[in-house]
Amino acid sequence: MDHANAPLAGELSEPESRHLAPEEVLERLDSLSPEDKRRLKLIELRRLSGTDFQDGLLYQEAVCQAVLGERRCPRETAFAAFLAQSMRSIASHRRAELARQVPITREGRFGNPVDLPIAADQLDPEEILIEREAADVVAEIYKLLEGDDEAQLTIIAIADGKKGKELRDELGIDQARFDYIMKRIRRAMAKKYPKGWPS
Amino acid sequence: MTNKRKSIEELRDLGYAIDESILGASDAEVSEELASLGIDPEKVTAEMDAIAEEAKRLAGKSRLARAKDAVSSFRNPPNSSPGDRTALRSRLQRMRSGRPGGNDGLMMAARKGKDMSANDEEGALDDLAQLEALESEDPEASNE
Repeated sequence: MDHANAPLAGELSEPESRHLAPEEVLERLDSLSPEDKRRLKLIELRRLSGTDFQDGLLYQEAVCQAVLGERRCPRETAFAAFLAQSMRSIASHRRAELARQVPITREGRFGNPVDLPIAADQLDPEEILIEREAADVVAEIYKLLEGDDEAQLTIIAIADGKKGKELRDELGIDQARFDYIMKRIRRAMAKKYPKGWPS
Repeated sequence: MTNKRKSIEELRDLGYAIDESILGASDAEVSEELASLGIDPEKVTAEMDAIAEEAKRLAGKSRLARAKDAVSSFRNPPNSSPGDRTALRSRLQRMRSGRPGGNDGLMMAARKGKDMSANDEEGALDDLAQLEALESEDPEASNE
């Protein structure tokens, strides 16, 4: 299944029958395979950065919200993918909350705090800060893969919004080759960002 | 990389792609990657099970607290203001007189045509206040 194209989790306006019922959520949870639990562990670790969640608590929150029905799993979505997406969304919201608590200043040349210049009609200050951090991380990831042209091209295509078959076609590779490239990318990332990136 | 997209979107897509690749990775690869992070893959399953059980316990507790709150707010509706009370009293009068828009004399029928006592009327006003509170929580209820 192409998880990237799966419907977003937690869309409350859809009819009930399109989502798992509470008892089905518990069944799916109890029948997650040991391999899926390991995959979810890896994904959780990648999503902790920039949040104040301790190891294990992001997964706990995702499971809790699923059991309470605060986020609902579309029937056609694999349950592990749903939990992965829930963790991603919960972590993202938490980062945004924490960013709102950060004063919008930077350290000046002499260690003095300096207000970041922000035009009134631009993005709000938190968004500007997050966007700036994101730009730094994207550039860093690209740099990390120096010497691996295939991986760098893949990063460029993904960052350009390509996914699935369109992405593989643009790169001129099959699924097996793509999986192998992604494995190399994951390895490089795990060294630099063992808990994912902060934005 | 194109400048048309925001960096935050680029990073989000990279994050999706990596999560996807983890979900599609072989068991051996996943175990190897956990080990490289200093995590014993064999212990992960039991840890994740324990976390899930704790999450279920917390969810049950939260559900119970919400149910208690709902019962409590039903039993103890917020006191209506004198102005609200006056509006409720006229609604009650309309209902008792069976005017259009009221409840067509149903309550009078239940009382065999006799007048309400002051206590009955206050009780009926409390019931109406609760009914209006419920209707405001569930807009569809007022259309039924």
